[in-house]
Amino acid sequence: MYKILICDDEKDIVSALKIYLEAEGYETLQAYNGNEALKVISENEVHLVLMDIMMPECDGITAMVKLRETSNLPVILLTAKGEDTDKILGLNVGADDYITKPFNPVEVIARVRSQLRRYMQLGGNAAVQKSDYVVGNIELDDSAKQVTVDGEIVSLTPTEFEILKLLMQNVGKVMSPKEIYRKVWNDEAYGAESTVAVHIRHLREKIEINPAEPRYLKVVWAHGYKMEKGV
Amino acid sequence: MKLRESLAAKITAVILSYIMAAILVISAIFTVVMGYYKFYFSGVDAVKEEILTNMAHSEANYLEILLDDGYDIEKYYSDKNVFYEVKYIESGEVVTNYNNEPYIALGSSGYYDYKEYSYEKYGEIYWESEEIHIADVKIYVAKDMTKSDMFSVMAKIIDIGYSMRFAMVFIALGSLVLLIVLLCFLYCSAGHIKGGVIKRNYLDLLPFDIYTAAVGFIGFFSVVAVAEWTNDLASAVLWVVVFGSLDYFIALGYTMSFATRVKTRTLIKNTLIYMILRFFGKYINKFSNWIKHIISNVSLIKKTVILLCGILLLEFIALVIIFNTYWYYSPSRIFWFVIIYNIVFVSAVLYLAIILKRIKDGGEKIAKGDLHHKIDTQYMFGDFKEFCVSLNNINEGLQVAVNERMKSEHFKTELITNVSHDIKTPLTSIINYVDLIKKEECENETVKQYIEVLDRQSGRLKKLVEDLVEASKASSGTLNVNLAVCDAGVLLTQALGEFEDRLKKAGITPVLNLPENPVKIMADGRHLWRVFDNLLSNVCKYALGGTRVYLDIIRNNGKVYITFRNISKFQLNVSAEELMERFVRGDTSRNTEGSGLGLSIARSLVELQNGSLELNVDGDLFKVTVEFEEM
Repeated sequence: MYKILICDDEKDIVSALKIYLEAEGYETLQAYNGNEALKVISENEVHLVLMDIMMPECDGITAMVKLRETSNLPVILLTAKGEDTDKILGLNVGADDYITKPFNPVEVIARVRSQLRRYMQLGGNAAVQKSDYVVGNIELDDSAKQVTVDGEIVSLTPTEFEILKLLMQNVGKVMSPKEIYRKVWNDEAYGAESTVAVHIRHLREKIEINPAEPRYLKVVWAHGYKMEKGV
Repeated sequence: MKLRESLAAKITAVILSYIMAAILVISAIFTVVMGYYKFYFSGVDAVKEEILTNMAHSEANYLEILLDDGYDIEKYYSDKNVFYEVKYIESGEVVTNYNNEPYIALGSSGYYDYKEYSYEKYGEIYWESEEIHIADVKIYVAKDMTKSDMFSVMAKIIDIGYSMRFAMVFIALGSLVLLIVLLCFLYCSAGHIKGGVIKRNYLDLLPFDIYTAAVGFIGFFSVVAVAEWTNDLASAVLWVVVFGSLDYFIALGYTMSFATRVKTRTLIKNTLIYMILRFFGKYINKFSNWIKHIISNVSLIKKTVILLCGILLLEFIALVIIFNTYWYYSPSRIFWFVIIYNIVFVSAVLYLAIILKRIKDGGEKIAKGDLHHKIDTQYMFGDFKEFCVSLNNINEGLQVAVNERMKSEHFKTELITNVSHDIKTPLTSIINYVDLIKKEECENETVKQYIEVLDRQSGRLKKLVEDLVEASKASSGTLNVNLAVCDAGVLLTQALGEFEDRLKKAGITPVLNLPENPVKIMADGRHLWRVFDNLLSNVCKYALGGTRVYLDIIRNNGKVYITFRNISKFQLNVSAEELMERFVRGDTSRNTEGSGLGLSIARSLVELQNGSLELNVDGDLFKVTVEFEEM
């Protein structure tokens, strides 16, 4: 049973998250500012922290910095600030993921699950790596033609599988739709690039928690697509 | 059909006008002649007497010639209505056929003097002597004209003329009025052809000055020809009639052409002189532009120097002339004075030119937006210094205003961002608790409906808040823009891929048209995606189901045009400009989702990337054009 600390100055949000997470079978603890959060963490065994940035007394970023001095437990930041600079700041001080308000409960749960899985795998019982390609929480087993995300098997069509494999083989490299088409279909594109775009969209819907803000399969607009290691 | 468009009517009018003109000329001549002979002021007998007396005078003179030539005058006058009487003064002998018959006119030649030569022989020589004789020659015109001759004809003409003397005036006036009416009709109808348009005929296409010269020449030629070819009354009448008619028709055609030209506003344009002037005008214009160009490109100081050199040269020439003329007044003092004066003059002017150039350059820099520029007021004095100080003050004022404006823009953006943050927190609770209520077991259908409304509207509020922040950032320019070379075709393909499911759901078929080669533009891929995202969202929301959306990329003259065309679901009651305004939506009822900020955001984002976005509404056809420079 994992314990999750929910920290937000808005009590209603804390209660709502509590309801969602407990419905999923997690135990929850509550805190209403950064200092309280740090106190709770020091007193309890906590597996994951959901923390708001803007809080009175001690804000989320300050609490993060203090927490990271002693612990590496996963922290997901919650904030109303949706700007890129804020995200980068949060991630730089050690946050593992980022959710913007107003959030979708399903997305929160998915991210919580993903982070917990990764943390638990890293911590101690790291399973034997059997897969051919691993990027973040995505594992691709070429011989079994199987893909798992956060440990759960995702069913992909053969084309989607091939595209994912190609991108995972070239992590960090931007591949144009034409190039992807040529390698996956073994044919020249001749204006069929939009097929690639559609497949990538479907692929993102299957492997990403929020396809509009992908962690791994990024869209490089006007150039192509690339796979990133994620955060 | 209108009368003025009928060719037959015009031809008829021309012929009628010719007849009227002829009648007018003849009747006018008669009227004038009759007026000259006092037909209108005295009785017929007096008129007749005067005219016949004149004729009798002429006849008497003619009789003298007959006598000189030794004609048989008795026989000559036997068939005429006149009597002759020749009275030799010296001898008192009278030769006559006049026997006191009544006469109406008496003409005389005055005293007829004739010479009689006699020859006398003196030896071998003939001596010629001459005697001058005087005779009184008279012609009586008989009152009863029984024979037919010039006099009887004239008497008859006078009788007829006298009886018609007023009728002739009326004929002249009547024909004049008719002629004017006909000419008015002809001038008004000139150029009109079937269908109510005014068209020029071949004559009207002739340059007017050439036409005028030709007509003038023909007129001149006619006068000369009549004068040259006339030797008696009959030929005079013939040539006058022939050339008069010819000239009449030519003059009529000329004046009608004049009317057409005035109507079609080609009177001046269609002349050789105008054409020539315009032809040269082009070059004159070019030449003057060239001169202007040169002058405007030469710097102020150089211009001053050139002007000064010119003035000095003129002065020098003047001086040389003065010295040559007044060399005897010791000129050296004047010479030195002029030199010193010129040095002072030139340096003063150059100083002014340099200061003016400084002011001009400074003004240009400020006008271009360099608000930190200060004009150097060193070595300036008086009004110039004051002017430059105020210019610098204006600059500072402007800078303050611009800073204020920037501050207020930033403040606005910050306010919107902060407010939206504060809205987002309660909104999160609302969305989450609505979701939780949805998950509760509830039998009441009405409650379920209400919850649906809450769910939908809170979603809308969320979108609105997000768009608001984005719109304020995009329009105030606080967004980071990293321009890089982008392939617009790839981006459009990617965007279409993202929207394929939503388009399918809305029943809209995309039709993509891309050029074969990659289309390179300078843009920020992420922002351009947001633009396409907004535009394609609009298509999904507002395009009519079952229709196609056309996405084209067109290259033209170094520009790239990315167009989105679709058929609107709703009747677009608002103009393209209004649609671009914030919070305006295609459906005035505002029943659909959306904040009304999409197009405004898209435009701001495109403009941040140095492109432009344009809307076109044509009935239900909705078209967005995004324009970029091609790389």
